[in-house]
This record gives sequence, C-alpha cells and structure tokens, in this order.
Amino acid sequence: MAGACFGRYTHAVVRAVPGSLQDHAIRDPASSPVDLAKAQRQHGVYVGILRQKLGLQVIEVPADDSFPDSVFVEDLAVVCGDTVLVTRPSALSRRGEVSAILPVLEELKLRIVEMKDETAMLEGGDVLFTGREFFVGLSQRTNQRGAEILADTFKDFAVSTVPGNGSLHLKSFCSMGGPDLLVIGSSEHAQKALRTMQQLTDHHYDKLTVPDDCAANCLFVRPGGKGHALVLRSAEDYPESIKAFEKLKDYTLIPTSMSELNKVNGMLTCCSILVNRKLDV
Amino acid sequence: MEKCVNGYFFAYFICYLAYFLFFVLLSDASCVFQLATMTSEITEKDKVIQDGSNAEGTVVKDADTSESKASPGTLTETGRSTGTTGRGLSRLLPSWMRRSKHSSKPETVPLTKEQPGSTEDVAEDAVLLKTDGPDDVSAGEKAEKEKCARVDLPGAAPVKSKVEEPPTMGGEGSEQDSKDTEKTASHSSETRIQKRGSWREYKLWGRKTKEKDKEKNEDKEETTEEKPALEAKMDVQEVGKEEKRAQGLDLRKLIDDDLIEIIDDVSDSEEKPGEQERDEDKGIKDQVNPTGEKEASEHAKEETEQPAEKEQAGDATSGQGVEAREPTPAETPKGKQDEGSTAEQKKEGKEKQMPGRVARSVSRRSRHVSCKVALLDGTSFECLLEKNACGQALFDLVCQHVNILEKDYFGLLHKDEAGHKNWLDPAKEVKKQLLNPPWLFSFNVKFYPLDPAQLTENLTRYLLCLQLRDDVTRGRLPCSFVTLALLASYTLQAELGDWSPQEFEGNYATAFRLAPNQTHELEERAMELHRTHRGQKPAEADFHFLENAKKLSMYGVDLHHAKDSEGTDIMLGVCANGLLVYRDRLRINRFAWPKILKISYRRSHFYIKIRPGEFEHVESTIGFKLPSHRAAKRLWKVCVEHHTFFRMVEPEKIPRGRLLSLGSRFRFSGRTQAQTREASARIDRPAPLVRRASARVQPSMAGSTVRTYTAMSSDGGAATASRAFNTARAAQAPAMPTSDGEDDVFLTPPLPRRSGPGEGKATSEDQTDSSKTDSSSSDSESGAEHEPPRVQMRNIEGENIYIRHSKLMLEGLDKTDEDMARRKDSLSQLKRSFMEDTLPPRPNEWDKRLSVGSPGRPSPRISMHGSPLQSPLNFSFREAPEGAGQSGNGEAMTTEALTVTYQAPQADSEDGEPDVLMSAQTITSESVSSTTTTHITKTVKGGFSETRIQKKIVISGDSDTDHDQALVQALHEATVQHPGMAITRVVVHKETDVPASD
Repeated sequence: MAGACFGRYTHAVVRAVPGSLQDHAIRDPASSPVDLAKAQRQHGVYVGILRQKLGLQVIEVPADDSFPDSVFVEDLAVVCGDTVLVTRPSALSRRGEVSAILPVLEELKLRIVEMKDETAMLEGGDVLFTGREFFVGLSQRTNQRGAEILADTFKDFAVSTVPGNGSLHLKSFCSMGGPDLLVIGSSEHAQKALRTMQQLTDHHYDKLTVPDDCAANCLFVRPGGKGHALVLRSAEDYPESIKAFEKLKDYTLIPTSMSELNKVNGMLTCCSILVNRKLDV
Repeated sequence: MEKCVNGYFFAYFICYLAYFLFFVLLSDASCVFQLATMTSEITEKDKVIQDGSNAEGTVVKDADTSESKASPGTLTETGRSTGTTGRGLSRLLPSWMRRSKHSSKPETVPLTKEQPGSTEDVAEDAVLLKTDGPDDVSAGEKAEKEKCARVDLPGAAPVKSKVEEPPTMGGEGSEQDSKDTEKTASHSSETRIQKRGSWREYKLWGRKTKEKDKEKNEDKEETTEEKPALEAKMDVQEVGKEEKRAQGLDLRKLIDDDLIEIIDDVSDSEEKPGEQERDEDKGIKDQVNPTGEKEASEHAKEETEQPAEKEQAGDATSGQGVEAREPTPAETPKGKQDEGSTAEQKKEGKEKQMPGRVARSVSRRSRHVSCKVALLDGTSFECLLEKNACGQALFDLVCQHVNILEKDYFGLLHKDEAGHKNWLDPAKEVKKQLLNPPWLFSFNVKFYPLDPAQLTENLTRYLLCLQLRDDVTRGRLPCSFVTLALLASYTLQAELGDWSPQEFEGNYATAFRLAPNQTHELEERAMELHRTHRGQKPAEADFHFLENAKKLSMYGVDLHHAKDSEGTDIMLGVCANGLLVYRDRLRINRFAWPKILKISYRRSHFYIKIRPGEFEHVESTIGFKLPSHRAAKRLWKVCVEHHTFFRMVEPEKIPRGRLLSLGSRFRFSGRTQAQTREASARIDRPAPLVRRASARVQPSMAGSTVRTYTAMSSDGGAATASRAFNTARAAQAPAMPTSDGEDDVFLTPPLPRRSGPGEGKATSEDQTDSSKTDSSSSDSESGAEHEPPRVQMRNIEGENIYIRHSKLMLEGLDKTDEDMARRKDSLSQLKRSFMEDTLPPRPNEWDKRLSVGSPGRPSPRISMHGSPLQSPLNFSFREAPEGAGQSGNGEAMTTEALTVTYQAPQADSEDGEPDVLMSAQTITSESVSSTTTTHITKTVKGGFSETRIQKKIVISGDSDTDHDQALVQALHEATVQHPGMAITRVVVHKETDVPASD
C-alpha cells in the first residue's frame, strides 16, 4: 500500500507569496522582518524545483493579499492516496484560505473530506505521514479532535498523537527523508518527540539527526517513481545540517534556500501540497 | 483448632473458607451472601496477625503437612471429620455441600495456599515479561522464581448466588466448616512457601532466553514435587468477594433468573438429609455420589462408568462425581452450572431438558451436552460433548469438522451474560468456563498471523479471510473506502470467479455483505475492481485480500475498554507486537512486549510494569482501570496468550505444585507461533477442499477445468477396512485433493441449499459420535437419533465429509482392502491400456497424477510396462458415423462417433433384489469448454444403500484438444473426487468432425 509508492507524486499545489505576508503573517515577534521580494524569489526557485527537477505538474493558485499566510498551503489539506482531508486551521485569519484551494483539489478528482466539527483544529504542518502511519503533533494549532477526524478519514492507518511542544508544528523539526527514513532535528523537544514516535510505532524507521531543527524539514520525492530526490535547505541556510544529508547514499540532493519564509515559520514542506493522482484525461 | 494461633493456619482457614464459600455460592444462595461477608471480615482481621508471622508459619506448616499428600485415604478421612465436626453447618447446609467439597477438593481443584502476607482479598496476577527484543536490556538477568495464585475461577459462579436464609447461621456454619477443612488441608498437602511480596508474578521469557527458561523449569521441577497441585483457594476467596463487591448489582439482577430453580433444589435437599449423609460417605469412597433420588439402575450404571472416566481425566474425578449427581442439588461449581444450564435451557427452549425432577432424570442419563459452534462461514456445527470434556476436546472436534490443521491461530469464543466474549481455555473443562449452558460458541481467529502468506494451507487463509470479512463488515477492522472496495473486490473474485459480461449483470455485489455501511458507490467500485482481477483463482484472491488486510492498522488488535489513571476513557489493544493504548481511535501510547516487564491485574485494575528506558532508571508501573474484575482478568489473559504466542519459542510450563504460590495458574497452553509454523511446515496432505460456503456461487465452474468423460460409478463399498482404519485421517483430510495444485473448488450452489439444517446436524452428530469411539455408552446411543450401527457410520465418514453438502449418505458394503485394491488396479489397468492404445506412454505424468491420490487410501499402483488388459472387463467398441455436425463456413462435415465402454466387474450389481430409489439428484455445471452433468441416485438394495453417481462430461474443443489426455484427467478426477467409490463403467463417446472434402 504505502512503502513502495511513498514519495511518488504527480502534482503539486502551490500558492504565490502575497504582499501582505511581510506585515501580517503570523510570526514570532522576535524574528527579523521579511524581505518580501527575496521571499518571492525563493518561492519561485522552490516552485521551479518542483516543476523542473522533480517533474511535478505544478498547479499554482494566485496569491490573495487578504490571506497573508496563504503561501503555506500544506496546512490546509492532508492528502493520502486519493483522499484529501481539508483541515481547519486554528488561526481565524487562515480559515478562508481553503476556498481557493478546494476547486483545485476537486479538479484533481480527490475524495474531499471536510472537517465540519467546530471544535476541531488541525493543520497539515502537524501531520507527518510516514508512508505507513500518521503522527499528529498536538500543538496550539492542532487538537485531539482534529486528530480524531484525521483518524476517521484515513482509517487504514494508525494515527498516533505526539504531545505538544509549544506553538511549533510537528514538521518544524522533522520530516520523512525517504521511505522509513525519519529526519529529525537535534533540539531537545525534537528528540523527545522522536522518542515518543519510536515508542508509538510498530515499524522501524531509520533516523537521520541533523543539527538544525529547521533543516530537518525537507521534501522527499521520487521523480517518476524512481530514484530518491531530496529537496533540502541549502548550505547557505544551514551549513552544518547539509553535511549530515550528504551521508545519504543514492540520493539526489537539491539544496534551496528558504530563509525569508522561514522567518514566518515557513518550511520547505509547507509551501506545497503534493498529490499522486494519475488522471485519465 | 489450637493451631490456628499460627498465622498460617489462618491462611488455611481463610482459604478453605473461601473454598467452601465457592461451593456455597454455587449451590445454595441463601447462605452465600452471609458467608461472603463473614469471609472478608475474617480476612481483614487475620491479615494483621499473619503479617507478623511469616517465617514461623512456614516452618510449622511444612512440618505439619509434609507427611501426607492428597490421597483417597485422606479424602475419606476428611469427609468423615467434616461429617462429625461440621454439625453446625449441617443444620444449615445439606450434606452434599460438604461432601462435594471434600470429595472434589484435592482431586479436581488443586488448592493453592494463599500467602499470609497477601491474604488481601484481591485477585492479583502478575506476569513478568522478560523478553529480549532489540531493546531488551536484561536478557542476562536472573530468573526469578515464579509464583502463582490460582485465580481462574470456573465461570462467574458466585454471581448466581442469592440471599435468602438467615445470614448469621450461614456465617457460623461456614466458620466451623472452614476450620475443619483447614485440618484437611494441612494433611493433604505438602507445601513450599516462597515469599515474594504481595505481588505474585511470573515471567515470560523472550525468544533468546529460551534456555534460561528451560533451566528455570527444570529447577522448578526439582523443587516442586507435589503432584496434584492444589489450587482454587484464592480463586474462590478473591473472586467471590470481588464479585460481591464489584458486581453487587449485577449479582442481584442475575440471581433472579435462577431463583425458582434454586429454591426448588434447596427444598429437595432439605427433605432428605439422612440420605444425603449416607451418600456422602459413599460418594467419597467411590466418587460417585448417588443421591436419594437416584434410581438404583442408574446408580449402578454410573458406577461402572466411573473408573474409566477417572483415568481419562486426571483431575476430573470429582467432576464426575458431580456430574453423576448433577441433577441433585449437589452444587459444586459444576453442578451449579449444569443446573444453571437447565434453567437456561428451559428459558431458551433449546434443550430437551425440563426443569424439576424430570429434567434431572433426563440430564442424569445423558452424559453429553450438546454444543453448538458458529463457524466462520456462517454455518454451525453441533455436537454432543461429554460433560466434563476439556475445551481442547471440543476445539479438536470443531477443527476436525472444519478440516483445519493449522488450528493454533483459532479458538472458540463464548459469550457470557454480559455479552463479553471469552476464549475457551482448552486446558480446562468446558463446563467450568461457562455459566449459561446452552453451550454456544463461535469459532474465530484468535491470533491473527502477522504474515498470512506464511500460512501453509489455503484453507487456513480462507478461514482467516472469512474472519476478516466479518471483522470488516462489523466495523471491528476499520478501513477506508478505497481499501473497502479493494477488499470487497477480492471477495467477489474469490466467491464468484472471473468477471464476465454475460454472467455478471447489474449489481451483483449487492448480494454480498462487504462493508459496514455498504453503499452503491462502494459496490460499483468493488465491481469495477473485480474486473481487474481476472484470472485469479480463489486462493489467489484470498491471498491478495489478506495482503491488503494485514496492513490495516487495526489488524489483529483486540480492543478492551478501560480508563486511564485520570479517568479518561481509553481502549487497550492487544496485538502481536504489544499493547496499544487508544483514545478515540488515536493511538496515544504503545508498549511493545519487550518493553513490558510484568503484567498483572488486581481487582478491576490492570497493571503493566515498564522496563526503564534509556534515560530512566526506575521501572514504572502503569495502571488502567477496567470496567470489572472480570474484564481485567480477561485482558490479562489475552495479554499472556498473545505474548506467549507471538513472542516465545515455546509456551511456558504451567507452574504447578507450589502450594503457597500465588497468582494465576493460567498460562497459554497452546503452541506458539514459532511452533505452529514449524508444525505447519510439516503438513503433508493434499490441499484440502476449500468449500466456499457463501454459496452465491454461479453455476459456472470458473477457474476450474472440467474434462469430458462419462463415467458411471457406484459405491461398491470399497475399502471399508482401510477406511475404518483411517477414519480419523479421512475425517481430517477428507474431501478432494485436487489434481494440479488447484485446491479451490466451487461448490455448485444448489447442493448446500438443498440440504436442510437437520441433515447437517445429523451428519455432524454422527461424526462426533463415531469419532468418540470409546464413549459408546448405552445412553449416548439412545441420545443420538437414527444413528445407524457404528461401523457403518465409520465407513461412510470419508465420503460423508466430501459429499455432505450434497445430501448423500453413502453406506458402503463391507469389502476388504484387497478387494478394493484389486478393483482399482483393474480399473487403472483399463485406463492404462486405453492410453496405450491411443497415446504414447507417459509414465511420469501418470505417476505424478496418481501420487496425488486420495488421502489415507491405497493409491493404485500403476506400472506402465505391466501386463496387457485383462479380460474381466467388458469392452465394447463401437464406431458409427453420425449426422453432420455444425459447419462453420458451410463446409460439409461428417461426424465420426466413437463409443468406448468399459465395464468393471460388479460384485454387487447382479443380486436381483429390488432397488428402492431413495433420492436422485442432477447437477449441471458448465464452464467455457465443457459441460458436466452429474446424476446422483441413491438406492437401497438388500439392506445396503447404494449410491450411483453418473457423470457426463462433454468437452467441446477443436482438434488441438487432447481428448485422451482429457479422458485420463477426467477419470482421475472422478476417482479423486469420490474417494471410496469405484468406477464401474466408462463410456467414451467421441464425436469428431471430419471435413467432407477429405
């Protein structure tokens, strides 16, 4: 079911960086201001990688200034197989973002499941799909109820909850670097979450620990269903971490910089929804 | 009594009190409640004393008890002493209570002494898990000695108690009685005490500690010599009280049901105290306890039966005694249960037994209880089981019926009153485990194999599929729409065969139950996918089904409701890998078996002790609250079993003999997965027939090939002797070993439908009876209706299983082995000679084919270079031109028809007696290139019934088809399909279209 196809995608849904991001995006007050132009440039490079290097069909949704965080499309939907769960972000300012994404998902002929429960909160950034099971980080943005709905939607898979660690998304410090390869940051909460996940899982995952939490968020894709490609943060962003990645064998490493969006908690995985859907058309 | 100063004697006292209480609870509700309260009070008091005097107590008691072990002599003594000293009680309690208590105590129910320090009235069992998975830290740790307290209570017996009689008297009586019993105990047992704190624990060892485990067991054997382990003390005490406290309400509720029955019994017993007194002594001596009610003849009969049974079941002697007087109010636990059963049966109207005395005399006579087992394919299996049979006996019967060899993955489930499902413990008597006696079970998968592909037989996989289909449709195994549809499509493929546009029109999937909420969309999707599975044989479809199902996260997870320490509702899931904790479908924790050091339960709490992790240094114990004591125990048992099955190389030996050991004696008694795999690797039988019973099968024999031949076979009663000899084997591996590895055969649907339920029942009963050859008591025979003489039944057993569905009862003539062999030989010669005439010899082919022969029967030896055809066969050869066949392009064709008739010598055909036609059936099945018509007639001739099966198989094919090959194949299939039947006539009618131009 999962293992072999993990990392195989055909489409990517992205959304351009809105002008309002610079001032209105949800962010850590301490972080330095975002250089919008640079952010847009970096995003452009990112989309280019998806399209050129990973061979995905990229569907780009136009930016909307009324939603400053709308570039982070990953939070809006969890796709697994041909089913998509449209999430319910915690921030009120983000609730409207879905409306622009939905038609795209419909076009991809995905089975759309929407969260109707008012009490549920879930953001895609808190959902880690390993190919075999789901981990849901319980945070300020994701609650138990949201995770339950996720479990109801994807009944085939075990859904385990990883207790919260502040406002951070689960995928802010970890991601899948390949089938059964978990990339994890080395901070204390990252390691704690790793232990929790190891405890909760029936499967064995290899782990790759990288010095920087944010570098642990990378994008694994098997272009054309073969080979291993990993989009990761460039040396310019995280010089130490990239060395850890270089140990991986038979991987095509595609470093890219995401420093500006990172200031508003943007990550590599955040900026796209990856879909594996062979359309007959 | 003086010795009671010592704490240990208090321990005895309490234990016996509890023991006594146990019986009382079962039998006479009036005293019970009071006794229960008394017991607990005493316990509390004694605890104080006992705690101080552990060491002393040990010494004294050892000295005191080492002299005598449990022996009949002791028993008699005991019984008498009770008779004299237990007067206070005898006023209140009918003598049978005392009697039953004493007579059964040392034999049936091994007593376990409770430790003084832990006379706390809690049932606590602990299992120490020592495993050595990847994170096993302490493989080298020294094994601790085990201790166990018997906590297995035979059913929830105490629940059935009632309050009626004056409480004080009951209390008094019990006290006295228990003192007496205490003496008994000190004489009848040898004790070794090992103090282990208040937790009784046993450890489970992981794979790599096998050797250590062995050592430990040896060690154990050295130190413990007592053979008849005494147990059940703690049980009674703990559970009795536990039930009282925790389930007080339920208790009352349940009591009402049995009220009338019990009152009735009480009055009976009070009427005849003298007789019972007398009987008591008798009962002790010969272990039959005929009561005053018994008629002399019955009494005698039962006495004669006793000895045999005594040997049969080691610890069942008193159980037998109980059985013998079961209808009387002699209420040992079993007695009570049986009685309860009467009540239940009356209620449900499922049994013929009637309440009151009539019922008693009836049930006294029949020593078998009818069991009904719901099988996975929706049918049910009924059998008569001896009352005191172990769970294993029933399970074996069922497995035999299902024809499964890899049976260790399965188990029998029984539902208790509350609707909770309990696994039948094969090691214990059935009647001890059941409360409500319509003995209803369901045959289910107990351990879901992690990798179904490793199962040896397709039949096993098929049964697992059936279980999983049920799990899916009942929502126990949640899966997404996509997976549902996929699984459903494999179900369709397995049941219906290949999709074809002609046969499958409309929404044929609706006929199947495929999902919990079956929608049209799902059916559509399933049918869509069904088309893509073309060419998959049923076994393959099953395989794919399992490959997908096993990946589901809830595959093989046994869920139990619980609460965590904060009172949050959670679910505990036991699976092959460990224990999972769910909260609202979300996994919130997981404890792999290697992580768990010990599992235990105490009252309604369930505890696991966790091995310290890398960064912790303290072992932590996590507790869960379960709805009831029973639930906790159930969970604990399931955990023990799963751990043993999936993680150990061999099951841990059941600890025995340590009198003061605590904790449950319960261990997993079956084979572990490792052993099972080993065993199934050795399975050497032709793949058994998979009867796809869902019966929505289309008539087309999709996937299976049918060859042309016309054969007339009649059951000449072949090989009776060999069959009788091979009864067991034939029953196990009955049906049809198929020729070329194709082991799935669709049943033609009309047959199972036509055979009524009564028929099936009769068959299974027969089977049961005949398999229990040694239990041919007169009453069992009278019990089974229309049971023909045993020998004949055995004869037909082989066929029976295969043809059962077709409502055929083949009764063979007595023929010797050689007779049958000769016939087969001549037939095969016939076949061979026919082959030689027309085909180049193919020795290898033949050998291969014939070696697949039916199980347990001598397969005809064929030598390709043997003598030519012998004369006894009528051999008619006819060649006649017939009318023109169909012409494709207007081209004229002539048809050359060739008819070959072979006639085997018929020993029984010409006896001239009039035949009475019993039944006739015609079944037609079609496949792509062939049509098979089977005509089955059953006639009675000269006292024997004869079944003739006439098969007409028409193959239409072009010249490329090797007709001779097909004929050989067909003949072979026929012999294989109907083992035990002989082919008497083969008529080959060959029509060849010859182009006219030639």
